[in-house]
Amino acid sequence: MTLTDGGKMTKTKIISLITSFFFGLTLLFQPVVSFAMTLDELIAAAQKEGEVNTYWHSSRMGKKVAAAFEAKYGIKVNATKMKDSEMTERIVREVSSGNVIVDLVGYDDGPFLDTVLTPKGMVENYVPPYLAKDIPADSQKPLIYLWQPFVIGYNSETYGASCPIKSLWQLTEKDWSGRFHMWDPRIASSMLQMFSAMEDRSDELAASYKKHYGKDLKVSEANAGLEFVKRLAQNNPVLYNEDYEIAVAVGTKGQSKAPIGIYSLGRHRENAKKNLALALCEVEPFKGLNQPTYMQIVKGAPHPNAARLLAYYVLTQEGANPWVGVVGAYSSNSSLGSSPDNPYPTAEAWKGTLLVSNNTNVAKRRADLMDFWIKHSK
Amino acid sequence: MFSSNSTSQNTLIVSLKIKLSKLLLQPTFLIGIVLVIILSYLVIAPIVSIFSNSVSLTMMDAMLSGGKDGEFTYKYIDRVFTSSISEKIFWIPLKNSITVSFFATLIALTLGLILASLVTSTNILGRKYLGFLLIIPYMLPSQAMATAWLTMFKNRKISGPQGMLESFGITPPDWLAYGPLPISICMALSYFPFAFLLFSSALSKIDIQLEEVASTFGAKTKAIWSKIILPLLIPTTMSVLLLTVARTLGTFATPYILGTPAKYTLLSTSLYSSVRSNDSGVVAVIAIVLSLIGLMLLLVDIWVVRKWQRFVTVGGKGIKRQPSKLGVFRMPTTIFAWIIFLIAALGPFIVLALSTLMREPGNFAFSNFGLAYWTGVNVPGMDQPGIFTSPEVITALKNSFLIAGSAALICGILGLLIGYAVVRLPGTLISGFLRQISFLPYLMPGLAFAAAYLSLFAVSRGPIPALYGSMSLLILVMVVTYLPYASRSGISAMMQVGPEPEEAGMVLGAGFWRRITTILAPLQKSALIIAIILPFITGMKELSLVVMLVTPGTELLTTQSIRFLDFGYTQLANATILIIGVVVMISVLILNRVTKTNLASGLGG
Repeated sequence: MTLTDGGKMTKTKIISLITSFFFGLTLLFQPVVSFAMTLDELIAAAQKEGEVNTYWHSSRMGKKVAAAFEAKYGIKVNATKMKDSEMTERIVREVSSGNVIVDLVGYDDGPFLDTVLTPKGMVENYVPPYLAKDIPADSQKPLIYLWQPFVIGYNSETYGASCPIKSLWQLTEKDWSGRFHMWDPRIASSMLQMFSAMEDRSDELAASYKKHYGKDLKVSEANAGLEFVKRLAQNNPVLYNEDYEIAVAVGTKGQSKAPIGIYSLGRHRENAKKNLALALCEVEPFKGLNQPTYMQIVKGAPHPNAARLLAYYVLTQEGANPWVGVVGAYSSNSSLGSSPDNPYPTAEAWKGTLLVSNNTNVAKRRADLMDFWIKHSK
Repeated sequence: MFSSNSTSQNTLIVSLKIKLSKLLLQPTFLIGIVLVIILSYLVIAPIVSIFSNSVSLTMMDAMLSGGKDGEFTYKYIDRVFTSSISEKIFWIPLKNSITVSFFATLIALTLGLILASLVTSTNILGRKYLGFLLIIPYMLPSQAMATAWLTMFKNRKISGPQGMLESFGITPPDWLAYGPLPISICMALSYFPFAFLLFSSALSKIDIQLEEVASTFGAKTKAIWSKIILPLLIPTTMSVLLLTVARTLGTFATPYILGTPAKYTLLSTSLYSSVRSNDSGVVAVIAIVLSLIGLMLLLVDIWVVRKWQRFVTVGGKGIKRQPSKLGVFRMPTTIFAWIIFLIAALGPFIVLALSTLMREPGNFAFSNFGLAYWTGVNVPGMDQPGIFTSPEVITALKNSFLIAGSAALICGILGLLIGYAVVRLPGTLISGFLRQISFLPYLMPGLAFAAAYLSLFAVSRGPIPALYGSMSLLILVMVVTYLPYASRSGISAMMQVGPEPEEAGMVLGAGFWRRITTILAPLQKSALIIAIILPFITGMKELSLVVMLVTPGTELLTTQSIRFLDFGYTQLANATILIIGVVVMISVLILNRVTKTNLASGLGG
């Protein structure tokens, strides 16, 4: 499309140029147009797509939300529960093969999202404009939809009203060898996020050691956080793919030497239904990790509007209820309440006793932390 | 072709024309060429890709470390062999793999030899039935034994329902519940039928005259065995040894189920961990090591067979050895053989079945029995539907049939086609190439092959679309992996049909397809059925090959049972395995009917 075609520009050429300019312009504004849809327009567009595929960190998407969403909008939700390492693999594979199956992901690996998926344009950050004012700015980019405390828990039938350990360092004692149950850090990035956050707050770990044992911690690694990770790895923890199993191992009744474990606080809701005796361990200096879960639309999603509608839905009271209506989770939508069964009404009320990782630090350290863990685990 | 002489060019064109018309008339050549192209891609490309993966930076690492996707790197070789974690991801697993393989093979070999001798050459009670019954463990998926063991011996070290022994108040120690001991025993019990079959067939092939001569000269039975029969079994022993070692090295389910709780890692489970943590460079390196070990074992096997060939005396024209009288040992040996059957074949079935029928393990009260795990809408304590009401299991069942079925169908037809091309094009390059290449997948352990396919078909390459996440990938990988068996049997089946019937057809003016459908197909009907049912059986119980390739929606029964185990739903996993066992048994029975022989001996996969 050269303008200097023989020095002369024909009328048709000019017209075609103008048309293609406007055509390009409309292409350019396409996404903006869809962002500016009203909720009703979004619902209509989503219903036209008919279904939406999700990979989710929690089975409640498939078990609860899917049915309610379909009943309300007539849109089918195909939900697969998946650990984040697998989700990462799939998102990258699908986007780079051009064969995108998934639309919306509920994803725990913030560091990977921040350093790879977002910069490479493999996901689209969609903050439902209808709710934006209720979502704190620091949870919007990328969008966090849920905060889930992963807590240290114990068996209240075996040990009564108070946790058998007072300091996290006791988990590295011989007495608890083979009796701490946790996720496999090779599979769940949350554990690496926890290790990284421990490095960030090394001083508190060292102080807690001094308070408990009355002497200074001998640090042979770069910092007290790493020292803890090393000693924990050497103390033979039992590793799992799923925290359901951790909760069952810890909470099953009738044990004389019940283990301690880290699992999502939400497991406490199953105490009655599955006859477990799980209780929160009031341990110093940290009671666990506050895990943000991100919600992103995958680039090239086959059902983008249905994905947007579902993203909106799980940020409303009705859609968030499977998580926030029971113990163990806080919505990033500050206008939604949380279950009275939670030990604290909001994430802030835990007052720093939950670790929160810094995505940049985790991204920088994760490979080394992983190798460090593998090297020291028995 | 570039000759300036126009006459020679003309003759060339004429001869080409003649060749072309021959081709159309006799498409064997064409079939051969097409097969060469397809197999080159399906077999060689994965091998090339896994070698290149081991030295090129993965996309994931390139993204994280800022390098270029695919650039040359020693990073992964270094990581596996020399880095600070090499001990954990490679050297210790290697040591463990060798330990477990050694003991498993030793037990399997001993059991196989003793039982084969008893069944083929003595008057042990029920020998007629034992010949078939002792092969049953081979028909069960490999995780059957392991989950049965876990159901029986698990203790509080890991979560989930109580083990059976524990519910009786006996707490099995960790070393009995998890780790090298149970892994070795379970593998031995799964693989001894293989030794049993090979020894049985070797024993029945030994020339009876040798024994007769010896006994005429007054040799005692003991001397005949120690001086004649056992030495003659040495080549078979070596084959059994090497093949069993190769098999145990590639087994995934047993170490995954029984090793993980004790953090006892074998090469196969280490490979899987690397897959799960997206460490695909390391996956490639470990896969290559596994393949090289497989290759080495095979070469040693070939060498041994050659070296010992001159001692092999196949004569015995159908004369069966008179079963020797065991005298006072008859009862003890009979009990021994039947106990092995009980432990290895019936035991797992009973344990698995019981666990799915009892709500609480170990409570034999009548009220504790029920079908909740099978037909329940919401199984108590699990928040999960029972097997027959679970959409996941129904999908997995459909997928298993669809995937194993299509793979078997393609594999059977392809095997015969290869056989046809190889036999009808004797002495050509194509024939030799097809023969060799169709055997290549045999060298690579399933896990390694799957890893290669995963990297090869994750993205679209040329005309081949990205197959990741589709059923066709699973079908394809099964077809290629089972091809060595299918092509071997295809070649031997075609060998038995001379070219004469076809030539007669040709003389009568029958075209190629007509000859195939009216002459060849009827002749090869039963060969085709066998060539389809055998891969189907193997496909139904396949795990290590597919465990990395399944995606939500393409789960198979075997992988679904592993998912259930991951969640601690032991009973549901056991029920799923039982379904596989039943399907396989039925297939074997059909096979026996079709072929009117005991074809368990053909269960190579």
